[in-house]
This record gives sequence, C-alpha cells and structure tokens, in this order.
Amino acid sequence: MVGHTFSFFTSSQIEMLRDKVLELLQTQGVKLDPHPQMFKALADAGADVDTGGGMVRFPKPVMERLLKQAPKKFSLGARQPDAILELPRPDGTFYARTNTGGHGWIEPDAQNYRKVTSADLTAWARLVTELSEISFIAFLFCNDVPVQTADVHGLSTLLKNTPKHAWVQPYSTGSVEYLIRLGEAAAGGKSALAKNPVISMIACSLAPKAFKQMDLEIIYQSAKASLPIQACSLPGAGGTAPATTAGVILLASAEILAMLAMAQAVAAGTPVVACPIIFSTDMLTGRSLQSSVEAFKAASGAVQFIKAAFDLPTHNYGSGSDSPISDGQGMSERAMLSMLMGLSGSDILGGAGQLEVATVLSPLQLIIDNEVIGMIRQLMRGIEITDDSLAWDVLAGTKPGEHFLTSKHTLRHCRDVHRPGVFARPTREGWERQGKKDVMDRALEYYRKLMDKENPYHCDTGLLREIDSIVGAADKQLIG
Amino acid sequence: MTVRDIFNAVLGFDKELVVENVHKELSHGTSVSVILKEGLIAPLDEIGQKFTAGEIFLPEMLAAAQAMRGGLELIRPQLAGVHNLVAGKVVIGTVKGDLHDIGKDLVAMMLEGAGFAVVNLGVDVEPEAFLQSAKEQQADIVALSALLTTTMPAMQATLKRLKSADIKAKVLVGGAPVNQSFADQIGADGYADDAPSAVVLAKRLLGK
Repeated sequence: MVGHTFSFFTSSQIEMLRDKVLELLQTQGVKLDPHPQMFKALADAGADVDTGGGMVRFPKPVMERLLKQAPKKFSLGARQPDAILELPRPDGTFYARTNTGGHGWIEPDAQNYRKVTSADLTAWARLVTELSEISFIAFLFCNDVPVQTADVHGLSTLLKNTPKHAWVQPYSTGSVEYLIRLGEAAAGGKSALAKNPVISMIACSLAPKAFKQMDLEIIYQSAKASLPIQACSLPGAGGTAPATTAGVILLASAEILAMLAMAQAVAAGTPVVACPIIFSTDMLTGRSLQSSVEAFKAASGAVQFIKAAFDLPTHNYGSGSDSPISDGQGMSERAMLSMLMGLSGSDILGGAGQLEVATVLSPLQLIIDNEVIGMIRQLMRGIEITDDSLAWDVLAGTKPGEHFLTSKHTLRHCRDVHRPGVFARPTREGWERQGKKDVMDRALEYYRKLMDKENPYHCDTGLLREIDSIVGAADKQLIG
Repeated sequence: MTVRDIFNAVLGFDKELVVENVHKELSHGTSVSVILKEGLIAPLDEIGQKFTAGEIFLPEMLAAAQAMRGGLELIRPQLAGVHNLVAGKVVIGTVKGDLHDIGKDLVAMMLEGAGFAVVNLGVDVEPEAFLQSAKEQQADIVALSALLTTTMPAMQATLKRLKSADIKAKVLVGGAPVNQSFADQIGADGYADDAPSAVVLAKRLLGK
C-alpha cells in the first residue's frame, strides 16, 4: 500500500500550475542549440520551430499529445533479473541511487579528502552491489583517466563491477555514441538493450529555458535506441530561476516537459523520468545549495506537482547534504530530505553517499544512507489493516497484565521490523564496553568486512574484452 | 537636500533617486569629489561591511552597486583626469567547453560594484580570446571560471596560453570543481571559493 498522502497543493492549484506550464511552453518556448535532426523531429511533431534562432514553442494540443505518448510505467533494466527496477515501484515506495559526477572522495579510514580515482569507483560499485537499498548506480569523475573520455571509462568500470542498473551522464557530445555502445555490449546487443535497458541516460536543461547541443544529442540518440531518459532540470532559485518556490517549480516543470516532448518527437513511447532537481542560491555567497529548506520545499513540491499533473515517474535528490563532512548537520539534512522526498512520492531518491552539494562522495556515508533509506521505505509501506494485523483474537486471548512475547502472532511478525545494520541501540555500559563506537566506526567495520570478501559479481570475460575494445575506440577517437 | 540624501538613496537601492539627488547636488554647486566620496563610495563601503557581516544579501548588494553606478555615470565626465575611478581592469569568462555563466556573472557584478572595470567575455571562451582581450584591455586580472570537472583542463590550457604570451595580468580561477590545490598546480595567481572572496582577492593582488 502507498503511505504518501502529504501535499503542498490543492487540486485547483495543481490545475492552475499545470496550465501555466503549458502556457509557458506555448508562448515563451525554449531555446535549443543547433541540432538539425531534433529541429526536424520537433517540427514534424507540430512544434513551432525557428531553426535560425533556435526558439521552439509547443502549442498546448501538441504538448498534450506528446505527453500522452510518454509511458507511465516502464522498467530500468539490469543484468540480473532481481535487479530490474519496475517504475513505479510495485510496493508504492521508491528506489535509491548514488551520486553522479562527484569528483572528491572521503577516504573511509582516515576520513581525508582527495580526488576520486578509478580504484575508488571500483570500490564504490562493489559497495553498491552489496547494499540492499541502493538500487542503481552512476559513475563518478575519476581523475586518473583521460578527461576527454572520463565518462566512457567511468561507465566501463561500473559495468565490470556491478550488475545493477547504471544511469549515465555523458560529458561530451562525442562520447554519447560510445556510452550507448557500452550499454549495448552489457545488454547483449541493440535490441536486447531496448528490451532490457541496463543503462538510462541523463539529459539536462541549461536553466533558464535553454538546451545545449550535447543534451539534444543525448535525447536524440537515446530515443532512437529506446533508452529511458532521465530529464533533469537543475535550476537554482534566485540565480538561474525565479527566487520564489512556485516560480522555480514552474520553470523546472516546463524544462522537463520540453525534454519529454523532444524525446517523444524523436521516438514516440520513449520512457522519460521527470527529475526536477532544484537548488537554491545562497543569497550571502551565491553558492548553489541542495539542502536549504527552500531547495527541499521546491524539489519536493515539484515532484508532487509533476506526479499529480502529468502522471510521470519522478526522480530527485533524496539524500545528500551541503556540509563538506559527515557531521550532525549533514546527517540531519539528509534524513529530513529522504523523509520529505519519500513522503512526496518521488519514485527515485538520488544522492546517496554524497556530501558538499553533490561534489564529494563518502563510502561510509553511503552505508549510513542505505540504513536511513531502508527505514523510510519501511515507513512508507503504510499501516496494514486486516484481521491478522488488528490481532483481535490475540487480544481477546490475552488477559490484562499478560504479555505478547510468547504468542504465535508475535513470533510470526517479529521479523516484520526493519533490522538495523549500522544503527545500534546499546546501553551506555554496553557501548563503553564495545569501545565507544559511533555510527561511522560501525560503517567502517562494515566497509572493511565487505572489501575483504570477493565481489559476488563476476563480469564475463567476453564482455570484459568488448568493454575494453569500446573504451579503446573512444580513447582513439575522442582524445585529440 | 544634502549629499547624505544620495548616500541614503544608494543604501535604499534606489537608482532613480540616486540620479535625481546627484542632479540636485550638482545644481546646488556641490563638488563632484564630495558627491563621489560621501554620496556614492561611502554607502558602498557600508554595504560591503554589512555584506561581510552577513546582514546584506547578494541581490541587495548588487542593487546598491547599480544605484551607485547610476550616479557615477552622471559625474564621470567631470571626474575624468581628476580621480582614478577604476580599481583595476578585469577580463573574465567561462573557459572553453563550459556554458555555465551565473557564478562568473556574479563575480563580474561584484567586481564592478567594488570599482573594477570588467570585460565579461561570456561562456565557452577560447584561450586565444582571453589572450586577445587581456592584451587589448591591458588587463590587471584575468579571471577564469568553470563549473564542470571536465573543463578544468581548459583552465590550465588558457593559463598556459596567457603565460606563454608573457601576459603580466594576475590570473584568478574559480568554480565548483576548482580548489586551491588545483590553482597551485596549474600556476594560477589566486583562487576564490565564492564571489565575495574573489573581490577581496582581486583587491589584495592589486595592492588595493
């Protein structure tokens, strides 16, 4: 059952905001970098395209038609059947994923900061393979590979080390083709990838109301390959978007719909996940913030709105912090965000393991986030009301003052609870006796134990060779 | 009506009122030096202090700077040759391959507010364009911005090009993926982690 009932909006506000989004796209439009194939697809679909200036406007009936073409249910594939992600999640909760593109790394042992390496990404993928609540992964920016093909190297590392779904953020127009080829190799060919999309592609707007050539190419090639597109709008309220919550939600929703329209224009039925990943601008420093209360409110409000108005799967930050370290502030921010985004109905909660506004990763934080996310999913499952859950007969058979510890009903349900991994509930004496360990210490113990074991996932040697061959071709082609 | 009214209009972020009051003071025969120092520069100093103390927000500081510039434009012709109005010349842009401009624009606006003459080259700027502009403007500072990790090498390439052409301007770098260690590694003269720090750094590098 679904437990999220929380909403910022009334139904008439949803209706009004929906109309404003469509009106914005019809009257103001968006600006596209030159991309002849995309311009043609949009014009053929009925959009008003100014190929010279790049402005594209979407008449309301056209947008409504394109919206209808976008599937409301689909799957993000994986290389193990039990890792395939059906959207929306059948139990009414959400999936969680890790950060994309972070370049800083907090070493698990000393908690020192340094740049991410390929070995770190391998460890990260290994960790994600094991963490039950982390459903899919993205690559980080590794600093020890050629910058021109860092994305291709990043995806290759993921495919070699985890069977879970990978979401892919290309760094250049040229690399899009190689990233899709890697996906095809992992899935077993072009048609296999279309049936079981083991990767999904990230496309972003350049707020406000603009789209870069690279992102147009991502949408174009992904739609052609029947790959799910995660359409991301990342506006900063007060900077690249209006300062007001309603204004930034309006802008983000319009940009996402523009990307959806492009994808449907290229190939009707292309799966699109709406990702209104909204930031706020710190009015004292100009920094982008993911964990200000204003950013929380706008991002969760956008999720609620998009689901209610357009019935699309949604994806947002559901973890992460603005703090550069795993401190009390960071833990509070990420717990609040996870809870809020879960209750807002986001289908995917992103940003697990990330610190410092999505730029830095901590393996220990990822382990702790896995715990928090598990607790929130348990909460989201709601409260079952059945004869068995009401326990009428058990209550009737228990006299005042007796207990339930030995009842068969308790025995049957005692494992229904969320079982903590690194959260602990010792007595003070017990805690002192065990070395006064905190949650970070316990996460480190978990990490070390995991890394001592062999990776349960073994990439087929044929696939390893194919991956290396594609990476080699990308290096040859893209490194000048 | 006194110069204090200009001062207050700047603090009230009211450009039209600043212009109106400067007109009035000029017609009363107040010297341009007094208008400049007491009416236009003094409130910005106060705003700067409040900003550093966290009492003023960025949009308010930028509005004050715009209001101040409105008055300054009126008296600029009479000040020519009398006062050096420019704290320094800055050429700023987002490096090749990177299309993000808001952080860079923020730094540019704050530098202007602090009295620098700023040439904003926009986004996706080739190393050669930075060099050309630095030469033409006889820049004191060239400021390079990047948001994407993938465009950090373009920063290094730009700096290399500037140094190879023996440009004497100080080179500042900034942006989300950049840090002091990277700035040191590529030989930049300075790194700032936010826009206000960039202004402080620019002044320090030019001995202001």
